[in-house]
Amino acid sequence: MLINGERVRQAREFKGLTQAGLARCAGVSQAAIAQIEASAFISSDALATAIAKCTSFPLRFFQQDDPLDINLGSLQFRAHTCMGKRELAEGHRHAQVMLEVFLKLRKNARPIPVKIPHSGASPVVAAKATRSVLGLDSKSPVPHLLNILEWHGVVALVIPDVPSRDAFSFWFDGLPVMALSANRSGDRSRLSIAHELGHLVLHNGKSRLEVDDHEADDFAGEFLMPEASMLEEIRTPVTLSSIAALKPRWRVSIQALIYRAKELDIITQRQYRYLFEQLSSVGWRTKEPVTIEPEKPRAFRQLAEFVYGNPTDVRKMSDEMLIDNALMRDVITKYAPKAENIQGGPHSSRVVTLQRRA
Amino acid sequence: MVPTTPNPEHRDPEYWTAELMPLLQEIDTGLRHAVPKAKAFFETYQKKPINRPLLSNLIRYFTLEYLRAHGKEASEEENESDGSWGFEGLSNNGIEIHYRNSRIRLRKGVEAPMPNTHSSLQFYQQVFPEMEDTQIYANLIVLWNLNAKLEYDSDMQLIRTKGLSRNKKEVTYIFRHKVVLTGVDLTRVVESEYSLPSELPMTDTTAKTGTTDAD
Repeated sequence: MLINGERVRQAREFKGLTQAGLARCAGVSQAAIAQIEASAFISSDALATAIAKCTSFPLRFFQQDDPLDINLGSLQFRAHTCMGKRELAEGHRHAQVMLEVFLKLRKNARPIPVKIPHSGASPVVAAKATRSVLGLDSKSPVPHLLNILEWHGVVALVIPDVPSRDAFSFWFDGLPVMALSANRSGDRSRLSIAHELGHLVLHNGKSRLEVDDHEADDFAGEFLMPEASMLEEIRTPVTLSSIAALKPRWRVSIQALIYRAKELDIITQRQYRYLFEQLSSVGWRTKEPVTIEPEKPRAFRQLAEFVYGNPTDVRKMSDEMLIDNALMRDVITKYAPKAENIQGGPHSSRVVTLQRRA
Repeated sequence: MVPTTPNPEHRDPEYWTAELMPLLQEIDTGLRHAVPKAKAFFETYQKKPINRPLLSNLIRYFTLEYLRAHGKEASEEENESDGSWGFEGLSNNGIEIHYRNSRIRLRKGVEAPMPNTHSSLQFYQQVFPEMEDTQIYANLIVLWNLNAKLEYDSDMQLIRTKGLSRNKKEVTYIFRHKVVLTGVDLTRVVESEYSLPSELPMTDTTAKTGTTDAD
């Protein structure tokens, strides 16, 4: 059986396995796996089946052409700490596989035009300009950020929860793509999404080694918490109570608001340290009060519903997309269902439903 | 939230306000719950003008009930008798709450009342005779008050006393601080708010007949 070595490498890294780990599982030597991955390879049916079983991909997955060519160096990360090589590869592979599924599904729809700008301006200027392009005024809180970005052509993919990684982004064939770790709090993920938007706007074509991550932070700060509004709303004396009151309105963490207050010189470095000391003492550093509901992207699931119905025939979808059924079932739930299927539905005072005339 | 022990060395009212904010929110809610009930006693049941001292005591009673029902370690303020004054059963004693290694007395008023017993002076002077047993690290007073219309509108002060002035006619404070509540329900869940329709503007090209959502 002829299998594609690149696909074996992709499936192995997707699964977070080393060559030695896959070799142990498949009952061959590590050298054999290395040899398979080095080129297209004629394998015994038994070995191909074993690799498929160990990686939870169907056999036909390994008979496809090469995976999408996403330049690993182009990935922009927002992470807690320095990420390991294997974690990096795992995130990359998840985005690669899911983007491939997304693009297959997208063939069945007229796609959304991309309106994400590129900018060589300073992060603050670029953030202001991007708000304007996205139809946001210069001073109001940003409502459902992912919804706005998807409306403007961003492809948002959910990848599994890896503690050290929040999100990454890249441009692929003219498409702005964001990969977002699952199970993040709403306030944290909104900041991550704004950070990645900063990378997409400011750093197109640059590798992550070339860019200053602080620029994306500055972009995110101005994008989600505009300076003019913060100067009006963060009143002195700044207390934990007064800052906490702003969280539900701006949908960002109390910590982010304190940081922003320091950045804008509303508070001094000493006050900043003191507020963080208080945050720790009341236990809010690790678990903040006021829960911001996490935002879910919609496009992936909407496309799946076009092709495989609503409710989605996940078995058929996973068969055709060459993805493990259980994985596909899990992936689908990470995206927002059609509004009418949500109890209460996504709602807003700013979304007006017109009634039919009697 | 895992309770931690407040640092008793802190003399900053903001620190203590933040430390006690969950409790202060609960007290505020308790008072908001208690005041109409206490007023109803006169207006609905007695059909008589409000008796102010009795109103205060009823508010204390209903607040205490509320705090206990919400899991707070609250009781009638301990008997202040030191054996010579015979204050047992004094009706306007406040509520005492044990919260995160602090002992808090909830009293109605605009000033901390003069301590007229040995035990209350100890409380004011931050003396912790039972510290080894009770692990109490700070004594604080929360004062609440009603406005001219006998309504409660979150008028609370947080006080840490130092003792008495030299002439022993005034209470001295380490701090005295008007409590500003966050106005935020700390357990609130903020749902996503859409500014654009949740369905994205993609046209389903697999649909052979029929109408789209846009129709």
